Amino acid sequence: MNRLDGKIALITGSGAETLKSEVLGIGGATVIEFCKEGATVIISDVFDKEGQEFTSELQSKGYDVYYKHIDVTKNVDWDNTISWIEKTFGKLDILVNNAGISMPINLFTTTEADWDKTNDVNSKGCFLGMKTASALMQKNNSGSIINISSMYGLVGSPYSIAYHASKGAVRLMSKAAAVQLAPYKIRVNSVCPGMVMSPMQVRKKADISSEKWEEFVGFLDASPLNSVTKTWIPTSQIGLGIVYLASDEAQWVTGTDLVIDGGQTAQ
Amino acid sequence: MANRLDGKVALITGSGGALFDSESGLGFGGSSAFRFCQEGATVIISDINDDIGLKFTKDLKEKGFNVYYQHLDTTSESEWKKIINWIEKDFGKLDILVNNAGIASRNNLFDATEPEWDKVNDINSKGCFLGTKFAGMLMKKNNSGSIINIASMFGIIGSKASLPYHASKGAVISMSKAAAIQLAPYKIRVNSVCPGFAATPLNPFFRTEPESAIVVEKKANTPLKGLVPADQIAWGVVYLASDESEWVTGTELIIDGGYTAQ
Repeated sequence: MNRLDGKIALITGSGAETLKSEVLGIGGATVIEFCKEGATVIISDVFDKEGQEFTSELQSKGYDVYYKHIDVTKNVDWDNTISWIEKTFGKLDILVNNAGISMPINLFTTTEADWDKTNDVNSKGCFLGMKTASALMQKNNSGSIINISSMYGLVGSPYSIAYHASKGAVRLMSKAAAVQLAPYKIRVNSVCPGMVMSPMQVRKKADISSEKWEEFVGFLDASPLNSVTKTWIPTSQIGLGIVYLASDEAQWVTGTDLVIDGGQTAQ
Repeated sequence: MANRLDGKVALITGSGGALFDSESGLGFGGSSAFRFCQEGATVIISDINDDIGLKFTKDLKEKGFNVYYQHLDTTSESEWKKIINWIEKDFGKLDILVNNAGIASRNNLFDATEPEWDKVNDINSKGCFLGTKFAGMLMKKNNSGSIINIASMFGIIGSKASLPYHASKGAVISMSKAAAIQLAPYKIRVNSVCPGFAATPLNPFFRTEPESAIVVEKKANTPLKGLVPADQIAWGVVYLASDESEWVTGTELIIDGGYTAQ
């Protein structure tokens, strides 16, 4: 397929797993869908060892991929990578701000340090990425930025107050950026995944007793489709939604949220 | 050309109202029919304008696509029963329904009349209910399906005019969410698409009078500065119809050049 032929894409937080991992995260799964559609992909993460291994695996499959270290909370990392992209490729067509963290703690148990860390990675990282990447995209008068928010940027839950705040911030800064970057034909959208089978779930399964895991599976009943299939959403499905937003098929889609949650927030 | 909808049977309402060379251009229905064909679907075009619909179907057949035409007034329960029976008999299944048939109304709260209210809500809202109901009954048998309802950004926000239209499109968005929950046990997905200002046969003057004050204003107020091409709506519908969006249900895909983000 060739829906992203000739496009240069940077995806943050996309190198924490390799093809040997049980599942890929949203970033890694998106890298694979982008490669299949013909894009040149820059994989980036703070986990350099895994990121480089993932990159070599994909290179040996014949895909055009590169690895760069980016701590999304550091302006200097962004400056370095965007300069390298400009020097090497002369342009950047797509940025996926995917790097993110979550902590299962509520209003009362969240410390100031937890708050700062979560909002630094999820929210400030997204701001720095949009700012530095769009400076390059502007020169080409074209671009698509996709920010990974969450259904927890739309609704509340008993957990993760800082995560909710950071993902709500992502959605709204996407809308503001969409308006501010429209004069340069740069589009900005959010994707809001629901209950996804992520590496975090796999780790959880390994960590907790089978009894507790059964209880955890019960959470799937909160979503109309997940409750029927008794499965989490595969990360590849989020990747395919991102492909749509990244492609020229979505040239008039900007400032909106693509919700991929099995109907959980429709209730 | 690709194969994102290979082997799928799709019904698109209000898709036979314009031709490739119509002055108005193709609408959302016709554009979706064309992209569906290119992606490998079997498409049933339906409309009340049989002459144009049959000609459009013939044009697509001549391009080598697998298309059929059926008359369908979406406000008539008996016509829905008839067409769904025909689809079951001929194809044994229905994978995709696009409830696209719709009309515009421009009157505000004080100028809108009861007959206008009834007509707009019959076609835009009741037609969508009947389609979702009867197509859902056939899709259930296959435990799979995707229903895409064409709403509007005017189902999300208000404006100075078009009161009955706003009501009808708000109804489409909400009933899509309810249907998404009620059809999830059968793995049938239901979503809305919300286009912004677009040049379609519904608003022919958008295309024929591009310099008119009203069109210039609409373009200027859209962050991406222009009218949304019908083909862009078609691509969004392809995404929601395909297996790429197997976990997308009960939501809105807004394709409005950023209008409602402001």
